[in-house]
Formats: sequence, C-alpha cells, structure tokens
Amino acid sequence: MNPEYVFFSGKGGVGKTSMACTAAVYHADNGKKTLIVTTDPASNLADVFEQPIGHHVTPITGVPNLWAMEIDPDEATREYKERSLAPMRGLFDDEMLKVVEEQLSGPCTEEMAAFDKFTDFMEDDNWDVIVFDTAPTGHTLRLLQLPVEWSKHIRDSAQGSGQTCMGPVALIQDSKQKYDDAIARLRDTGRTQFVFVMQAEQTSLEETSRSIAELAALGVATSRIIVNGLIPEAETVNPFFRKRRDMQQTYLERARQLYGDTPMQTMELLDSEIKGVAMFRTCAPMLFQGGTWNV
Amino acid sequence: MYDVESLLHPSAKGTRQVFFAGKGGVGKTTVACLTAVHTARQGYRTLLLTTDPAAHTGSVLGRKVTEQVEPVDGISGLSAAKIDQKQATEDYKKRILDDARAKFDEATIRAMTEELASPCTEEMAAFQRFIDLSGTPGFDVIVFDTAPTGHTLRLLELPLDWGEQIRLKAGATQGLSEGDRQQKDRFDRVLGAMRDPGLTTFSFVMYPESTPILEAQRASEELAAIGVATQLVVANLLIAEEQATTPFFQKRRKMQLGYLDDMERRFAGAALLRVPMMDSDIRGIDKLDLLDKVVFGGVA
Repeated sequence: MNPEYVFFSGKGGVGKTSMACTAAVYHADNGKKTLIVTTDPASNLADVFEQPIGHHVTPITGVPNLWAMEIDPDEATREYKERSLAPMRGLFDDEMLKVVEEQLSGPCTEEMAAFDKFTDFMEDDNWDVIVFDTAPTGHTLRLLQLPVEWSKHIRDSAQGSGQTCMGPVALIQDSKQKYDDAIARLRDTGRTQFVFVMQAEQTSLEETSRSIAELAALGVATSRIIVNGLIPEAETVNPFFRKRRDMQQTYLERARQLYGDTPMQTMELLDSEIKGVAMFRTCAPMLFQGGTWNV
Repeated sequence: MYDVESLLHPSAKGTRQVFFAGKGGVGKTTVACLTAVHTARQGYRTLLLTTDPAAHTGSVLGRKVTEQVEPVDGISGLSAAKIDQKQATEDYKKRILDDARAKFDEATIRAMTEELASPCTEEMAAFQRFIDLSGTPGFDVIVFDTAPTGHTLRLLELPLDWGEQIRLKAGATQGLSEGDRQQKDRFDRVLGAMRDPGLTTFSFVMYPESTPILEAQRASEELAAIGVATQLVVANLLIAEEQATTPFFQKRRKMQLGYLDDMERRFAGAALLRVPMMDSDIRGIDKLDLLDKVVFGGVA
C-alpha cells in the first residue's frame, strides 16, 4: 500500500481538528483504512471522539476503518531530549548542561520531536490514508534540511579546532535518511496534501499567507484552503449578524484574490461544536461537496 | 480574586505593566487597544506597545503608530509605539553574528545563523526591545499586546544570555566566559518585576471555546512554573443576549456561557473580563470608546 498523507495546518481555534476528524471519518466510511494522528496538546481527539485514545493506535468506536492516536508531546519531547542529551553528559559541566537542556525545551524541540514521530508514521505502509491534524512549520523543515551543512561542520570541527558539536546534531545525523525520505514525501503532491484551515478575518488571513509562502519556499505546495466559520445567510435576519457576514465576505473575497490558484472551499458556522462521529458524518458532505475532493 | 480595575492601574509600587497573551486571532490587539484607551480616559498616562507585523494596532486605533513613542492624536494621555519584530530580530542577529565572526569559523557561523532563525529568537529580540521601550519615563500604565511565553522567561533566567546560548548550541564552546553580564543583571530585574503582581498584570485573551481555553491554560501553567501568575482572563467575542434572536445563535450563546463557567473554573483566582462581539471590526477611536463604555461602563 502507498498511503496518502493529509496534513491540516492552521492556528488554534480555526477549526483544524474538526476538519481533520471530518476528513478522517469520511475516508474511513469510504472503505479506506484510515489513521488520524495528532501532536497538538490542546486538540483533544479523545474529547471530540468521546472515547479514551492516548499515546497508542486506538480503534474508533462506530467507525470500522478508523484508528486514532494522540502523541503525547511531553512524552515525545522527553524521549527526544534524552536522546540528544545523553551523549553530552560527561563532556560538559552542569551549568552548560542546564543551558542546553533549556535550549532543548523550546518550541523548536517540541516541533522536532513531533516531526520525528510523524516520520515514524510516514514509514508505516499499513494505511490507506493518514490524517495529521497538525502540520510541521517551515522552520521545522528548514531545521531538517540543515544536517547537510552540519555534517560538514562536524567533520571540519573534528579535524580542526576540536570543538565539540552538540547532541542534536549527532542525533539528526542518525535520522538523516529518515528525514530526507519524509521531506521527499511531503513534496510529492501525488501522495501528500497540505490543507490550510482559516477564518474569514484579518489575522487569520495574514497568518495563512505567511505559512503558505514559507512552505512554498521549501518546495511544499498547498493543496487546499478551507475558509471556516462563515455565518449562514439564513442567520442574517438579525442586522447585527448581517453586518458580520458582510465583513466575512469581504475577507473571503480577499482570500480568493490572494490564493486564486489554490482550490478553496467554505464551511459554514454551525449552531454547535463539531463533536462526535454523528456530527463528523453530517459535516463530511459539506466538506467534500459530494466527493469532489478526492484523495 | 482580583478586581479588574485595580489590575489595570498603577500601584504604590509604581508603573503598571499589563501583558496580553493568547493565540493569533483571539483579539489580543483589540483588547490591548481597548485597555489602553480605557486607562488613558481615566487619566492615567498610558503607553501602548505592540509587535504586530501588520500594523494592526494602527488600524484598530485609526492612527499611525510608528517605532517611536508618540502621543496618539485624539486621546489625551495615550502614547503608542510599535516594535518592528523583523527589524528587531535582524538587528539582534546581526549583533550576535558580527561578534561571533571575529571568533569562529564559517561552519559555526552557519550553524548559529540557523539557530538564530528560530521563533525563540524573534520572541527574545522583541522582548528585549520591549524592555528598552518600557523604560521610557513618564507613564503610569504600559500595555503590551504580545506577552512573552514561559519559554522566553525561562531563557532569561538562565545563567548565560541568549547570544551565549546560541554560540554554545552551535558548537562554539570558546569565548563563553566573556559574555556581557550586565545584560544578565537587567534580565534579573525584569523578571523580578514580572513576578510582582503589584507591578505586572498578566492576562490571557481567548474566546469561550474548548481549544483556545485549553491552550491558554497550558501556557498559563508554564508561566506559573516560573513564578508569573495569571491575574486576568478576557473572554472575547461573547454573543450578547439581545443579539441571540434566532435558535441558531441562542444555541451558540448557551455554549459560550458553558465555557465561561469553564474559564472561571480553570483560571480560579483570576479576574474575568467579558468583551462582547460587536457588529463590525473594532476600528477607530469612536468604536473603542463605545466598546470601553460597554465593557467597563456597565452599559450592556
């Protein structure tokens, strides 16, 4: 099997998890063996699927072809950090180790650790579709491409000044082939989709543009943009919400101009949160518009 | 429990710093502008600082905001300045790399350059500019729409400054002891002020829905671990009762009220400020004055 990968990208609160779960349920219901994976500590798959999930691949009740896993970012980061720090113990004094450890506690390390986990799944060919409800950022991908430079640095340092390089460098070296393969798969539009979820408002528009440009610079194309949370026409009987809808339409129009070449679709605001398998099944036809969005 | 007004006013200890934290899109800039207009209208000399790259603050105020601290036309007592995060980051990188070029080989410089491309550097550079600008004398209240994360504050707390850390991480272990310790002393003072609830109010902005609340709680816990308490939480985009005229929005409003309770439970001890959804973007001083009345004046 050659699994398809669907990454959902976007800031917290735009509806990323709802869209990712809807897509996952849709594919499973269409007979594809589907896995949904999250590394987002706040996007609680267990909560939206209304069943315990956790740090292992878990079957979803009521959806025969769907499994889910919540990667515990703290656990993943701890493992990753320990692998990075181990070779340095004994080489540096406590003050320096403390500094390195803190450096390894940053958002970048969490991202790297998360991507490291992603790549494990990207090597797993037991699935038809893998949906990732969090996507790596441009910064993560740049870090992953760096080892070419760093390997030279390590060699030079070893021969020259004898400067000691850091654990993470050695660690990235070990995983280099794995990361190279993962990046190649990310760039393969036949296998990988990058979906951006945004709201029809200024900040979301700016952030989406920034992220799309950053990924494009690294050779990763955006496959689709979902503009989420539009106020339904029927709800504009109240002039207050009519005005808000008009405002949303202005930003939607701006998005259309900005992202003209990328397939774009809109999703309306619903009267409640998108939660539970039944709700995902209700949303699926809206998201896939009768199956026009084919993986 | 704190009272919202006292959290926004200077104390006997001195100038009040108010930070607004929260994810992009939750309305931080609007809430920061609202707060600044509010305290300025109350007669406190107020400085509003922003790092927003898209000059969002300027468009909310309807006034040009530059990189210099300048009075905001039309609101006496209010000044504003923007920190150009990109520029601050470039300056900051240049300073560290220029210094390093004299000491290290090309490969180390390359590794340092990529280390410096991390989001941590942007945060650090912006926060350092904030520290510089917040030293501007003559203000009672300083409002900042971009709060440092727990990670930034932990980096400040470390025995080495950020430039030294970057060199170390890039593999350059020479020259570390020559670091500028004055910078460290300054960071220690700043951290002391951040931990003092008489001087600093740390606030999270969110809208009342599951994900933003959970994210804010996680960030708040990270700050608490370094001794910075969250004293204020702002619930933005609340649907007012009189606007919930259809079953659709009545249902959404009910959901929001449930999450307001959730916020009070999760941020027990913090004051809660409610900011309603308005019918359009908050743009211009008239709109801000109107929102000020609605939020602080007991109008709605």
